[in-house]
Amino acid sequence: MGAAAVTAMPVKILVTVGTQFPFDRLISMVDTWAAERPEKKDSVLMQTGPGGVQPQHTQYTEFLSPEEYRVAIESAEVLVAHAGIGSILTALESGLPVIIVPRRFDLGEHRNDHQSSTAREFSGRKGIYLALDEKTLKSLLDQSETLEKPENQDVDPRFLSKVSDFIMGQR
Amino acid sequence: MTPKPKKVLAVASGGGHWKQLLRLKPVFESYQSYYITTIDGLPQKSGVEHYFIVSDCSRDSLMSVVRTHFQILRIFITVRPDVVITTGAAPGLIALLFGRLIFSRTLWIDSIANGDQMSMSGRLARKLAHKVLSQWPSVAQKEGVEYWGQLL
Repeated sequence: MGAAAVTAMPVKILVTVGTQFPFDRLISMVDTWAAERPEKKDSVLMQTGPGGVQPQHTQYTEFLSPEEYRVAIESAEVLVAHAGIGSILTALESGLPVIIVPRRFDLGEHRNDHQSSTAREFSGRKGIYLALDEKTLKSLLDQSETLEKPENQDVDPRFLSKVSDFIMGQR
Repeated sequence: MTPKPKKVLAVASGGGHWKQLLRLKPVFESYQSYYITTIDGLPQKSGVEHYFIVSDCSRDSLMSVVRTHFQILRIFITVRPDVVITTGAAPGLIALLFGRLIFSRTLWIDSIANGDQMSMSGRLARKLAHKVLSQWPSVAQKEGVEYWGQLL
């Protein structure tokens, strides 16, 4: 099954949909792309989520353990993700270009439409690419080697000192 | 005599909530800090010393909510934190509740995922926590909470 395939080959393109819900639209779009790119498909790993669709042309697994995730992130050259904050922060921390595909409320892909606003807020930052449709996604995947890396920034030290003040009972 | 170090309980569900919480690790390191999350492996990976794993829960399943309450209650009996800080979601809200019951200071930081409006948990937290933050200035203004910056 999928989980055993995790170790088969270094992952170049890592697709993740988080742990809460499947995101079959994203998985199917990447699967269709992989079918047309036989030379690339072996280096694609998709984390498909609970009960998600099973892709035909890439490695996949329902879940990745934190350790498996770390290993895949290390070898990956691009992350393809739903517009979950965890995935976006992972990309920023790892300096990994990320293509985000927001889950749509109108297609029943999430409880509400917050992923669309998350995607809007983050798109345009260096290294963060937004794919709202299949054509954009495929063209970004085709140029995955040349995507820009995001830059991580430290948390504003004033934020940290306010939290520290709060702990000391001064705020 | 030096005062006893403050005991801080830092709570977040696995995934994005946890990542945001960990951005505050430099602060927590100055105190006696304990962490709660929902995915085993995360605290180990993040190099935090004292941690507890609880089951995740959502309002969809009453049983899961009850179970998580008991797990967090046990942690409160052990740790007795002076301060509870959480980035959500449901387990963080439960921790705020117990925090109030034992007179801890409580801080809710609404996830950066909520750029249009506060999460439902965040709205409940407004009634519970001493201080509630949004990570978006516009949302903070609209919801009458504070904005201190972003955990990016």
